[in-house]
Amino acid sequence: MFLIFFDRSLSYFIFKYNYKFFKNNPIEKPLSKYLRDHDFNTLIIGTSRTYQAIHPELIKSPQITPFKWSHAGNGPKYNYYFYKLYKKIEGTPKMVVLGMDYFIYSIASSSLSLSEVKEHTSTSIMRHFFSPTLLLLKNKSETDILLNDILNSIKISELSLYNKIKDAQTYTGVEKSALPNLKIITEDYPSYKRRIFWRLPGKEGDYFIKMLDEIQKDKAVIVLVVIPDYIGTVKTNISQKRFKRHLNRLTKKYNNLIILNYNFNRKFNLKDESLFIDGGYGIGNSHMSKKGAEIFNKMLKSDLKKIVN
Amino acid sequence: MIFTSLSFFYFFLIVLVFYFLIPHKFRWVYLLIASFWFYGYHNIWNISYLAIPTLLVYVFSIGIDNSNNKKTKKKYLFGTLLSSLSILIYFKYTNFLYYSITILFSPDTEFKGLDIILPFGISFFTFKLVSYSIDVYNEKIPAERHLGYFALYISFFPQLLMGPIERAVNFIPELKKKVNFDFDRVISGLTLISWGVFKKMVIADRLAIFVNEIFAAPYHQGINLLFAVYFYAFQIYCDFSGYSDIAIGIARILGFKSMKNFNFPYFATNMTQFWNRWHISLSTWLRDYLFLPIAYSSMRKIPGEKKWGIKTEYIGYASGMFITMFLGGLWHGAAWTFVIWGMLHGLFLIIGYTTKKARKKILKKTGLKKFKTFNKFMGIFMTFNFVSFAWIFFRSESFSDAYNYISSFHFSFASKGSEHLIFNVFLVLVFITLEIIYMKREKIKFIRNSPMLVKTAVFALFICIIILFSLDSSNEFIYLRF
Repeated sequence: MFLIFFDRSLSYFIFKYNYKFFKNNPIEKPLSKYLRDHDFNTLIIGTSRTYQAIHPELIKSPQITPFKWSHAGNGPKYNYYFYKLYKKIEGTPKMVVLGMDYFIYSIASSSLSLSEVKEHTSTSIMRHFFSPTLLLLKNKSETDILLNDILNSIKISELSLYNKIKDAQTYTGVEKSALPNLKIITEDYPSYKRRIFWRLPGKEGDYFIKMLDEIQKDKAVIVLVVIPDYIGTVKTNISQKRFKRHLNRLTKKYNNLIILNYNFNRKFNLKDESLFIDGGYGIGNSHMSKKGAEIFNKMLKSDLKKIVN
Repeated sequence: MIFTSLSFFYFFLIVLVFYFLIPHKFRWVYLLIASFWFYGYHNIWNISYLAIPTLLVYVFSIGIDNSNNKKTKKKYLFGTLLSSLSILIYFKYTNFLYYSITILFSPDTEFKGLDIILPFGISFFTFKLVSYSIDVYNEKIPAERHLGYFALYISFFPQLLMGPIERAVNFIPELKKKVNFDFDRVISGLTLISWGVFKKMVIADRLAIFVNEIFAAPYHQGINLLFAVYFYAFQIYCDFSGYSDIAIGIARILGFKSMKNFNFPYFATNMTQFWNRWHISLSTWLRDYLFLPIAYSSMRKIPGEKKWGIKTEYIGYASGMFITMFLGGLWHGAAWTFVIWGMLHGLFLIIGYTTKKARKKILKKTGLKKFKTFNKFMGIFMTFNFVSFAWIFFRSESFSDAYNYISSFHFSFASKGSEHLIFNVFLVLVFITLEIIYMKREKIKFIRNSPMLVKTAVFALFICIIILFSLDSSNEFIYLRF
C-alpha cells in the first residue's frame, strides 16, 4: 500500500511539475543576436542524430546557406515551436531540412529543451493510476533523462546558449576514438531486441504534422533526410517497410516534400563501423562519426543542390 | 544472472515460494538444483566447470581424511589443489601468461589472445575449494561425507558469483541446521538487500558515469582527476559491498548466517585496519592460507633475531606480505595493473608495520599523542588517500594509462562537467551520512523505537527513491540521447 502510494505521489509530482526545476532559458534573445549578423536560406533541424550527421560547414554553397539547430532532447514538439520562433526572427526559410529518425514518434522533447522555447511539459499520469506496474519503473528512462537535464540546466545562460548556437554551425563531428565509452554492437547475436516503428501520432507526432502543415503553408521546400544508420541498427529497426510506406504517404500529402533515404539508396556504406560512433544490433539509434559525416555530407550537398536547382 | 536484474528477482521469488514448503530433509536438493540452474543460466557448460572440481575435491578430501600416512595425505592434497586451481589458471591466466611472454620476447608483435571466456565466479568458488582442502589436511575440519551438502556449500547461489568466500567450518553446519519461516529474519534480510541495491544502483552506477568519462580522457581535466579517483573509491566500495549485502540478505531470508564482508573500510585509521575491514572473506583467506604460512616459514628459515641488520620478524612479514599481495592483486584480475595495485598495498602495509613503533615514539615525543580525534582523522585521511592512489592502477586499463592519469594531474579547476561533479559530491555525502546512520541504527532511539507502520512507510519510500535515482543501464539513449 505504502509502495503504491509513494509511487503514484512521486510520479504525479515529477510529471506534472518537473518543468519548475528548470529556470527559464529562452533561446529567443541569443538566437536573434546570432541571426541578426548572418543570412541563412536553409534551416536544418532534428535530434542528436542530425547534430552528428549534417554539418552546415560541409554542405554550404552559394545556393545553400544553412543554419542548424538540432540537439539531444529536441523532439517534434520542440522543433515545431523552434520553427515558429525561427520564422518570427529570420522569416520563412527557402528550404527546411529535417533529420527524419525511425523513432520520431516514440520520443518526447525534454523539459530542458522545451524551457528554451517557453513551452513547458506536464504529463498527467492519472490514466495509468490503476496500472499494475510501478509508474516509477515504467517511466524509468524518462526520469533518468530528466535528472540529467536538471544537472545540465544549472549552467545554462544567454551567453552559453549563444555559444552553443555558434558552435553548432562550425561543428563537423567527433571521432570514435574520442568517445571510448561508446560501443558499436557488431555481433549479430540471435536474441537482440528488435524495435517496431511507432505509428502516428505516437508521443509528439501531432506536432510533427503541425510543423509540416506550417512549412507547406509557408511554401518552403521540406526535405526529410533519413540519416544512415549502422547496419546493425537498420536490422534492429525491423519495421523498415512500414516506415517507408509512411514516408511515401507524407510525399503524397505534401506536394513540396522530398524524401532522401540514405538507408536504402545504397549510396552510403552502412556496414563500415568506422563511419559511426555507436549503434548496432539491439540498438535502435546510431550516430555518425566525423569520418562518416564527411562522406555523407558530400552526398547530401550534391542531392540538396539538385533540389534547389 | 546479476542480482539487480528482473530475471534474478523472478528466480529468487520462485525459489523462496517453495523453499519453506519443502521438508527440511530435501531442501538441500532444492537449493542445489536452484544453484546449478542459476550458474548455468547463460551457458550450460558453466555447470561442468563448477561440478567437476567440486566432485574431485570431494573425493580427494575424503582420501585425505581416510589416510593415516602423511605422504599419502599430501598426495591427496595435491590432487585437490590441482583439481581446483587448474581450471582457474586455465580460464583466467592463460592469456595473461601468453601476453606477458610475448611482450617479453617479442615486444613488437601484435598480441592476439586465445578465445577463452572466463566463467563467472570461478575465482570465488575456487578459493572455497582450496580453503576447504587445506582445512581438511590440517585437520581443522573433517571431510564432509555428504556430497549434496558439500556441493551446496561450494555452489550456494547467493555467494557463487561474488562471495563472501565462506569457510566450510562455519557454513556447512549452517546449511544443515533446520530453519523455519521467520518474519523478522525476512524483514532483516529485505532491509539488507535494499541497502545493497541502493549502494549498487544509485551510488555506484551514478558515480561510474563521471569516473568513466574522466578515466577515458584524463587530459586537461585538472582537479576533476582527483575527484574521479575519490569517486571511484566509493564506486567500487558501493558496487562490491552492495553486492555482498544482497548476497548476505538473500542467505538471511533463507535462514543462513553469512559472514560480514565489509566493515566501513574507509573509516580505517591505518592500512592493516583497512584490510581487516575490506573484503573480509578474502583478506582473512589470504592471511590464513598465504601470508601466515609464508611469513612463519620465512622466519623459521632465518636463524637468529636479525639478518642484514633487519629484524627477522620484519623479513618474515615483508616476504609474506609481498607474495600475498602479489597473488592477491593477480586474483583480482589477470593484468599487471592489478599486480601493481596489490604490490602497492603490500608496500603500504610493510611500511606501516615496520614503522609502527617509530611513529608511536614520534607522536609521544611531539605531544601529538593526546590529540586523539585529530590523530584519528589524520589516520582516516591518510589511509583513504593511500588506498585511492592505489585504485588508479586497479581502474586503469594499462600501466601507461595509469601513468598518463597521474601525470595529467594539476590543481586547476575544469569548468566542464562541474555540475555533475557537485552532484556526485552531494551523492557521496548523502551516502556517508546514511552509512553512519545504518552503522548506528540500533543505538538511535528514534529508529529503534519507531512503530512497525512507520518503518514500513520509510522502507516503501526508500524503495521508491532507489527506483527514481538508480541508473537505468539499459537506457541506450543516456549518452548521446536521441
